[in-house]
Amino acid sequence: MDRRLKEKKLSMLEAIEENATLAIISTDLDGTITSFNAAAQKMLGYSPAELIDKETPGVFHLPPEVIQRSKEFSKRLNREILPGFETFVCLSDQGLPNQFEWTYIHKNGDHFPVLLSVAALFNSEGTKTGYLGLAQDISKLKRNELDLELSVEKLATSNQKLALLNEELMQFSYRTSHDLKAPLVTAYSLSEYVLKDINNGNLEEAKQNTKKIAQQMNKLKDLVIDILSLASADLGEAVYEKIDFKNILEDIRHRLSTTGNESPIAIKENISVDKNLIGERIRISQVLENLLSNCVKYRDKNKKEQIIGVEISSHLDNIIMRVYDNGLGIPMNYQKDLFKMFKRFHPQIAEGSGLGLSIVKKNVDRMGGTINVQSTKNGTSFSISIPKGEKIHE
Amino acid sequence: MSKISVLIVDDNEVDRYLLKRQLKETKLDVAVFEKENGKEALDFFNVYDENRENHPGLFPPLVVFLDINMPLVNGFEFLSKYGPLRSKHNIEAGFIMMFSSSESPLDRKKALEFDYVKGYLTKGKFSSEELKELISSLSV
Repeated sequence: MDRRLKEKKLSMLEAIEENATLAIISTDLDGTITSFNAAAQKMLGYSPAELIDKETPGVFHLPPEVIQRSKEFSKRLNREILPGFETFVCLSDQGLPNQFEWTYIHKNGDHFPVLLSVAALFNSEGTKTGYLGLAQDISKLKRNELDLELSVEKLATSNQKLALLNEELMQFSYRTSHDLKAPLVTAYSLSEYVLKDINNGNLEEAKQNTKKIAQQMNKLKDLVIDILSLASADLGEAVYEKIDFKNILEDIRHRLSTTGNESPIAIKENISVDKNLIGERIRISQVLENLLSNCVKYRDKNKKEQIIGVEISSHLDNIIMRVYDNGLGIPMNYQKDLFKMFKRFHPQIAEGSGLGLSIVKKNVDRMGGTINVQSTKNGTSFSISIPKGEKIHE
Repeated sequence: MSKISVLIVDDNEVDRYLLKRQLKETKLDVAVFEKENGKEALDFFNVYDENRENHPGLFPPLVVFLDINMPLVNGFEFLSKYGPLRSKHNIEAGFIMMFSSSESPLDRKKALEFDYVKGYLTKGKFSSEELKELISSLSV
């Protein structure tokens, strides 16, 4: 090569070395650093004087990673590769591609990922003289990769949630259409028999069947009311009002005692909260009514005294509502399905839509609260905690 | 002709009453067992030998009218547990006739996949004559 061409090539190499954003590091055969370009200085925080002729690249590598790779390469090359400089160059020595992700350590101790390619250097006679390493900082790339993984994960989770919601919705529409239709079909057939009975002079049978029609219609009415409250529990818009628990419980007691309960219902009340509490009155009232109505429905008539009670108290920033009874309790093996729609656990005791606890759960969820249940054959206790609204300052 | 024994599994007392009236209208000589849900029905088949003794000639029933939507153990849950019971006790009869207000084609298909399910009656949508034909076709 003529001298001018050689000089031109040299100055080109120098320009690349000085201006590249890649760290360019060369070593002799033993690994001692012989050059360290500007990008490498910036990337690793060392000056050339600190490293050249003094250190090997091991200085800014992560030792456990080097040990790990030396094991991998030993396996691959079927001979022992010592952890250290040999690890960085063994593949290049075999003429194999040598580009891997490594962790670099900045002089200040920061770790960051790089993509490092290592090649062997030869002189004009073809003798190996050293090695050249080109390293690119890939922390940004890695961060993006991580972000992407996170977004994919998030997407998968919301997808799962959607699938669940969809499943719930399908179940809901299947059951509502069935449960709405069933009493109508039954009542219609009954009415045909009532006509036949009247025609045949079986007035007693006709009377019984008319009563059954009324029962079916009453069941249908209750179901429609429950479906509507479940639907409204699902609708957004929180309405905050002053909450007078005494008043709410009075209303509930009144409604429960007019829905065909033979014996008067005694509910023990213990209210120890501020009178000026603010909250979502309608939701709270629905929660209490559904729980209390269960207490009434599932009283254990074999127990000497039937206890139903409500405690309203406050703890830190929460209102705690505890509704308890010494009723039949919820059979252990069904407790996992407690809040699922259309589940009924004592079908022989009372008829219902199977929606009561779904309504409770939905309302509590909407108020950002939590539910705690304990149930044995000695009775059941629901503890509901909901965050307080603001107080009214008088 | 000997008595035909049937079991009605339905949580709705009125629907059981309606089916019993329709059975009466068929003029067949029918004895009826009633259970309120799949769990009770499974229990009924589980105490097999005892029931054979207690109900000579009537147990196991020829036909089981089975509702789908029932608490505790629903119709489909019953169906999947009933198969093993049926083969365990070598029950020749004990055919299932679905008896539901569901008109969902999916429910129908799912039910008829069990080989011992012999028909699907939609509540309020079949006549006593049809009922009579169905039962007569099942006699063993």
